[in-house]
Amino acid sequence: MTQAAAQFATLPFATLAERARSVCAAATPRTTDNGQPFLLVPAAELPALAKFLRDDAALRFDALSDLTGFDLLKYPKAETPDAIAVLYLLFSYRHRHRLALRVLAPRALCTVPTVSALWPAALYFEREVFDLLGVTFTGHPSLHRIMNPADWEGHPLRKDYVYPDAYHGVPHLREGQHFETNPRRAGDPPPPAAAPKPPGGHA
Amino acid sequence: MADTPLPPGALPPGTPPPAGTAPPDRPGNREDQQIHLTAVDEFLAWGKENSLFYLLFATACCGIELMQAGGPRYDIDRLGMIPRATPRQADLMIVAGTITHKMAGRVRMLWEQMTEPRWVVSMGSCANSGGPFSKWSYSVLNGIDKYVPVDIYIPGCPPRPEALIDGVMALRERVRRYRTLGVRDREPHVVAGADAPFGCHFPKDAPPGARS
Repeated sequence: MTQAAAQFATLPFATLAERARSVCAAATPRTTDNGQPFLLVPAAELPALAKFLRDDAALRFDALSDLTGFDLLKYPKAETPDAIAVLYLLFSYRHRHRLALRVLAPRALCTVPTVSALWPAALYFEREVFDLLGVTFTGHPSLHRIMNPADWEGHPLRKDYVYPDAYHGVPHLREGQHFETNPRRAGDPPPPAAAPKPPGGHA
Repeated sequence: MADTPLPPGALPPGTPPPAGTAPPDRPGNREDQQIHLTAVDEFLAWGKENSLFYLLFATACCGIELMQAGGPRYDIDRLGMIPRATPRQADLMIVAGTITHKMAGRVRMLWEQMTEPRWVVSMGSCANSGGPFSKWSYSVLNGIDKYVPVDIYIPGCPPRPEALIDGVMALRERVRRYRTLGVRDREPHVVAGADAPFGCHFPKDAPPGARS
């Protein structure tokens, strides 16, 4: 391996995590269910850690590949079901290594500091997470809905979202239909009978 | 042409026919009078029918089929249909694709900007009824006919260009019956493909496996 190639060698996750923990000891390395490593970061520590990850010469995460989130409610393996997870996927074009961060925002105070000042790509990503999951990114210059109409109510990707019946008088479903995820009300049609299982099946 | 010898017995052009051989003296019956008599309404409808400029507007995969219909293989130009980039020059709006609640207001605005007479073709299952999103989506509109009046519905997901052309032919029937000056009757909606010879439907008595 030439010296130039060695300079851009990909660092493993353990090295990246150790380097990140030198400025943010509260960040804990974890793995997802399918073995993908990530750093669990407290929300308060996120701005300082993100700035370090971007500016440190050995790390140099110059790109925010993705910023998304999901609701942990009804997720059976969740340690903190009453929270919404925000995911940050970082990539370094300089060193060709990647790192995943995760921040848990409790549903009662669903607030995470913005990283849009560090990576402008986060401007739209954070609007999407705000629109669909209701996470408020403090410090975002214009945090408003990006996909749903501006007068939409609720955040559709939350697991306890109740589907509205109509939007400006136009019903979402035809008469006699029912959103299966909504709690049933008086007058709703009965739930459809479960389809019979085919004979045989897997051993 | 002046040097071309005339056939024996023929008169040079412009010569009035000999007395006793002329047809009844009605304009348009003579070869040198290329006149066609018709009603004004039918003439206007003929012009409208053969110049259906459509709005260049598509929202989903149906738009790919719409583009294909405008391509060289199907060449919808031969029906006098030319895409227009502004609704103010368009006669026809082909709603090709999924319409969300957020988009529906924009579609309505485009439709309102079109000049009368205007026609709307709902292309594909999404624009007809919400299609695969009709039961499980909170954001997709169940049919664009809740926002704009639809003349022709074309089934399919997405419809092939043959089906689109079939729908256009059904629309041309409506345009032909449109009366600019006379009394206009409100007509029931027409579903394209019910009696079409090709494209978007199969013979009713065909076995299920015969569909290719």
